[in-house]
Order: sequence, then structure tokens, then C-alpha cells
Amino acid sequence: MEATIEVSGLHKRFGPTLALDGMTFTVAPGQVTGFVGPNGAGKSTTMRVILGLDAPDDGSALIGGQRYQSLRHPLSHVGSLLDAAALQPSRSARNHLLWLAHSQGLGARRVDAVIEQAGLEQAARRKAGGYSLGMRQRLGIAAALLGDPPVLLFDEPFNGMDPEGIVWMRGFLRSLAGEGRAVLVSSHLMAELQDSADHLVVAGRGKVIADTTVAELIAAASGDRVSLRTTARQEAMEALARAGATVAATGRDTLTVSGLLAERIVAVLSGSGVPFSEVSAHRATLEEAYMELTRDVVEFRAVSGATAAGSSPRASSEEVAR
Amino acid sequence: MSTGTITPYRSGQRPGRDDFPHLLWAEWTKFRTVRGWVIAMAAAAVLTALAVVALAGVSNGSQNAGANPAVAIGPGGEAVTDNFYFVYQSLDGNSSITARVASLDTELANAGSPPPHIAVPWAKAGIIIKAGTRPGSAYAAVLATPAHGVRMQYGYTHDTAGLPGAVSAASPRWLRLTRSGDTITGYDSADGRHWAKIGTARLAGLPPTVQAGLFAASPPLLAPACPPGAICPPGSPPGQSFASNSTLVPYTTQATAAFDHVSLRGGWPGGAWRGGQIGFPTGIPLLCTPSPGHFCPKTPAGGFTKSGGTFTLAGSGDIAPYVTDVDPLGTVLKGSLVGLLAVIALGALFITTEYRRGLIRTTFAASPRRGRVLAAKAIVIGSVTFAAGLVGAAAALPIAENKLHSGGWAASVYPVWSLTSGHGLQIVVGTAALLAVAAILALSAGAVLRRSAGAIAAVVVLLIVPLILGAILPQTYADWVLRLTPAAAFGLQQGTPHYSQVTSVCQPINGCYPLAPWEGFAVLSVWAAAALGIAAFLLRRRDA
Repeated sequence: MEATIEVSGLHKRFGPTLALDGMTFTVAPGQVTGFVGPNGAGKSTTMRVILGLDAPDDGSALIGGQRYQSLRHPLSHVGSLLDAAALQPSRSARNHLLWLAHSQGLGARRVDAVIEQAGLEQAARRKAGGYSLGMRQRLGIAAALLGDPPVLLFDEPFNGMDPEGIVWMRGFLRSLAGEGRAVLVSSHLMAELQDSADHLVVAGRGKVIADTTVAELIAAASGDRVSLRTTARQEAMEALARAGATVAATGRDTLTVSGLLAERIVAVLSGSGVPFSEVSAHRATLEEAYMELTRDVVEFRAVSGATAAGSSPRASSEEVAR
Repeated sequence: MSTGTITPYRSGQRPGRDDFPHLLWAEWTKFRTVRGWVIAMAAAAVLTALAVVALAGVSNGSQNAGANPAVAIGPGGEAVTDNFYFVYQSLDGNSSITARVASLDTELANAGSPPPHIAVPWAKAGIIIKAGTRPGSAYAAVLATPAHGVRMQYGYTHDTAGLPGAVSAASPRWLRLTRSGDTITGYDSADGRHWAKIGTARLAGLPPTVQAGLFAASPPLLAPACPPGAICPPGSPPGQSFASNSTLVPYTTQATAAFDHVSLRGGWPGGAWRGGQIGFPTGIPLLCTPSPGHFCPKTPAGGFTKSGGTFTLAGSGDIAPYVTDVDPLGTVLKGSLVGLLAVIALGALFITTEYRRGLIRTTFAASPRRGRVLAAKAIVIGSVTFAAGLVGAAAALPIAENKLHSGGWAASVYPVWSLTSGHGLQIVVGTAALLAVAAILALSAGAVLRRSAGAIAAVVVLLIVPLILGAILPQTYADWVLRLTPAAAFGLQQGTPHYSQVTSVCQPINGCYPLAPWEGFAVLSVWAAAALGIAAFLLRRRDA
């Protein structure tokens, strides 16, 4: 079976809310695909549809060309972590993994192997109800790995993790992809994916608004802007404006210039006798690129937030105006 | 870190092929790894046993039926009714008796002159071979009845049908009994030439000399009592003219039968026919109020006349297992309601906690075929509950019976049932099955409603509320409630068996239900199956 996820034309409506509006993308093997977008963009719904938990009104989601429901022992095809809190609090972590293993015809030896893989040896026999969110995420990862599947889906796995856990998780995701698995990781915080995702699917309002590599996304967001450091901020702004550039002050002695190439800026400033110490092509962060991309959908959400039932726009209008 | 060529990953895990045993394994692991559930299930068994025993401990049997002089003790030590009018001779060794029943009529005893006819479906007139004249001794009989045709009966509980139809001048019934050692065979015939075998009775330890002859009996008729203060005209049949929900009272009836073509073969010493009442006739003579100049006889006038070859017998009573109006064992078995509530809660929680925690998504992601998941859950919770119920009921029953006897209930009327056969096995297995299917019903309700409180409430309303309604509603409505709702299955906990050939007061309060025990269980099972079907349909249709 090909280790891919193919999502095509998914539509799904919950009452008055259109949750999925033609969601289409493909997750390739051997890389980590980040699935990002503001809350309510349809990420979790898409994952539930992939796992056969929710039925789409239209469209299809295939794992290696097959519907999830047709997989006989699905955990050896697809491992998933949807909700780390989905545990029976009085059942121990090891017993949680044990029933899940039994449902696939797997035994206790496999359970102990994934407990070790997720770094849960010390806590495995404790009741899951006493776990921190970070430990629950590790337990969820262990559950996803039970069947040693070629395809993995993680919904917000960084939630509740301490910095050490986040570093571990990034390395872990990379190593899973390095083994040739297809890994889909959703997040509403781009920064978490900055150093771990190879490919990005950016969702907004139930559809894909960008499907690209991390490098391309940053390049597109960086545009032709140039950063400039100068002690004579006022003079520099006036000189560059006269030369046709758009100038914005970003700090006490820093400016961002767009509309002029770096060589031209150096020439203009030298010609006007304005001192400057540093000229560099501006490089956007992934976060900035993401904000730029999702600005429209978030603004829409902020305005119509009152009517969007059940949504809690984390990216508020304040954040967008900043 | 995009690389040019990627080797797709292959899972190193190769699970087995058939997935349903895996589902059962997974659901069993789920159940046993929540300590609270295991403790609650054990508690359900223990509390059931304790509640039953506690109720038995406070049950007062000082007014019990064992003190009734009409109760005889049968060959196995059990309570029997053995009251009839007997016309008999001694019979030695292997031999046979044949007689033709030419007519059989029934009437209310002491009801006036001439007595009005009243239908008594299980009145009896026929021939009988009996170990002796002591009430409760072993016997085998072939007899005619007004409404159930010819029967062969023996050992008080055995009843086999022969020729159908009522006896009349136009269609008399020929009856024959032959003895060969311990074995007695019954035959019937419509014409005295073509005989059909009805059945064979083995009466162990039958003495060489027995008493054999003709008999007539008519069991009391259950009818509403004439309410105090109401005018019930003498001679009017009880029933419609009386209030329909008043207490049922057994009125004494009498059967009059004519026999001819009486012939004896084999070891008959050739003595004269003797007539006599065996035991005490039961029931209350209709509307007989003692007053100056009006005497109420305690017993109806049984007797016989012989004219030429025709014998005419009048008799009252019955030859049958003794069926009591009260059911102390059935009442104390209601202590299992404590355990029932616990297993209803567990059955519902087995799926509703998964909804509450979002765990149901993990379950359905691991096993996308949801109907099979539900089936596995039902099998696991049903089996665990059945085992717990079996242990609880089997432990409680002998102790409860013992306590009932200490409380004054006669062991002959309310016996200690064997746990491994017959009625005792029915009570123990029935209680366990009732609990198990109730748990499955609760599981289904949980799958449909997804909420613990709602599911538990729904099953309690379906299963326990009808039990209360059955006790307080007028009989007609109570019967329908207990026929149609899952509560019909409580008939499995009937402490005293009821027999189709014995008319008895049948009310839920007496542990008697309108449907036979296993029919009632079938009603509960149909409810559970329907609920499972609806749950499976909704599980497949709805998003998890």
C-alpha cells in the first residue's frame, strides 16, 4: 500500500456552519506535512473524515488509495492522535494501549515497545487520569505507533508540551518521516512547525489556501523588502521616499523599505549623504508568512465571528491589526 | 529535508486475519482494566445475594399454606392436592380396568336447587390406579375433562393429552389403564373398539395390592368475591355481575359423571365397590351465610349411586400439584433489583463513558466496523453480567430458602429447589439471564442516547416501572403491561411453579406473571435485540 493520504473535494456542513468547502490536498511519504490554519479552518474535521469517523457530504479521503473503513486492521495502516484527553481516567496508560493492541490482534510485547518509544516507561502503569497534557500527548503518540503504520496523523501534538517535549516531538516527527512514512501534523501555531515540517498545507474556511514547501512560502512572504539600519532615520526616509520607495519605520534606528532594490537604496543614501550601517534583504519568519496568508480568512472570521456558531477565533481582530 | 527518492514505509506488524475475536479481546480488556467496573460487577452479585437473603430473613410464614388441611404430601415429599370422590376395589398384581364416561357435568356447590351449571374447565372424571387411599399416595389416571379432552395424569405433575373434545351422550369416552409391575399404561377410545395409547407411567415402589376404580373431582372456581354490602343473588354465577377487580375467591364446584361398561381384568379379588371421599374438598361454598334454619355444609355432598351397570359419581376437589396463592421465594428474589440497577448502570457506562471522554473515536478508528464493535461490547457485558448473576443467585437461593423455612414457611409447600435441575435451575439461570439481557438493553440505550443518565433512566422506566405498575393497576391493565414490556421477564423469578392444568390466582404480587417464564424472557430479549438493532443503525449513520 502506498503511504499517502489523498484528500479531494471534501465538503461537510454542520447545521448552519460550512466546515469543509472543497478541501483538497495530498500527503506524500517521507516528509512531514504541516496542516496549519486558524481554529475553525476545518483541520480536525478533515482528519476525522480521513479516519472514517465523520462522513463527508461530498468528496473523498483515501489512504494509499483505500477508504479507511475498508481497512481490516487499520492501525497497521494509519496511526492517529486526535485528542490526547480521550482516555478513561481510571485505566492505566499501559492498559489503554493493551486494549487498543488487542483490537488489532497485537500483544503486550508491542505495547511495551511503543511505551519505550514514546518515553513513558516510568509512568506506564499509572492511571491515565493523573497524566499531564504533555504525557497524554506522548501516550497518544505511543497509541498511534502501535501498528507501526506507514501513515501518521497528529492533531495539535505540541499542545501542552514543555519546551523539552516540543524539541523531542520535532525530532521524533522528523525521524518518522525519515523512515519513509507520511506524516501529517496539524497546528494552529506556525512556529511549532518552523523547524519540523517540509511541506505545508494552509487551510482557511474549509479549504486549502496554500499548498507549498516551507522555503517557497517564506520567499513569497518576504517579497522585495529590504531592512536598513541608520542613525539618521528621518533623513533616510525622506531621501528614499523621494526616490519612489515605500518606507516604514520598524524601530528607533531601523527601517523597512520596499519598491527599491538593495543596490539602488545604497546609491540613493550615499548620494544624499545619509549615514547607514546595515542593508539586508528582509527575510520573513514562517509566522509572518502565515499571518499574511490567513489575514483575509481571519479578518472575515473576526467580523462574522458572532454568527460562526461554535467557533472561538483565537486569532482575534487585535492580533490581525497589529 | 526533501529527498529525491523515498522508499515507502512498510508496517512491521502483521496482525491476524479474523478481526471479531480481536474485538472481543479488546472489549474484555477494556472492561477488566477499569477497577471500578470490576468492583461494581462483583458488588452487583454480592448485593443481589445479600438483599435476597435479608428479605428472606424478615419473611413471616406463620400463616402459610403448610397448615392447610387440604394440603397432602406427595410421594416425593412435595405438597399436593389429593381430594376427590373415589369408588374403588382392591387390585392385585398385573391387571386392567376399563370404563366408559357417558356424561360429565359441573355445577357450583350449594348454590341452590337445582344447582346451576357452570363451566369448570379442569373438572375430572375417569379411572385411577392408586397405591392406597392415603391422600398424597402415588397414582396414575386416565380421565375426561370438560374443556381439555382426555388426559393421562400421574405423579401429580405429569399431564399428557389424549382424545380432544368434551364428553357428551353422543360422544362418550372409553378409558383404560393396565398395570404391569411398576408400569401403568393409559389408553383411550371413542368407540370401545379402536384404542390409542396415551402414555406410560412408572410408579416406583408401587405395592402389589393397589386401590383402583372410578373417580370424580372438580377444582374450585376462581371468581371475584361478592363484595361486602353488594347484592349477589343466590345462584348467579360469579364473574361479570361482580366488580371486576375485586379479589378472586375459590368457589367450591362439583362434578357429576356417569360411567358404564365398567370392566375389570386380572387380579381382582371380586369384592364389592366401596365409595369414599379422599382428602378434603377445597374452596368456599357459594353465598352460603349461616342463618337460623339454613345450614351451610362444610363439604359438598360427594357420593355415588349404582343402577344396573351405570355408576353416577359426584365429587369435588382435585388431584394435582399444590399451587399456593402466595410466593414468598418469588417475593424475596426481588432483592435482585439491587443488582439489576447496578448492571443497568454498568451496561450503559460501558459505552457512554467512551462518548463522554471522546474515547469512542479511538475505538472506531481502531475498528471502523461499528456494528461489530457494538456486538463485541454486548457479548462482553452480557457474559460478565451473566456470570456475576449466576454466582449471586446460586449463592443466595439455598440460604434464602433455609431462612424462609426458619421463618415458618412449610418446606413441603415451599421446597428447597435443586440448583442443577428443574425449577431451581430456572430461577438461578433465569435471574442471571435477566440481568445479562438488561445490561445489553442498557448498553444499547447508551449507544443510542450517548448519555449515562438518560440511558439508565430509560432502562429503569422500561424494566422496573412496569413491575410497580403491575402491582398497582387493575389486573387487566397490569397483565398487558407485564406482557408487552421487558418486565415480562421477571416471571423467571417465580418462586413457586404454576402448572397449566391447575387453575390458580395469578397476580404479579404472588410471583405469577401473565406469560410463562421463558416467554416473558423472550419479550425482554426482543426488546434488547430491537434496541441493539437501532443502536447499530445509528452508530453507522452518525458521525462518531
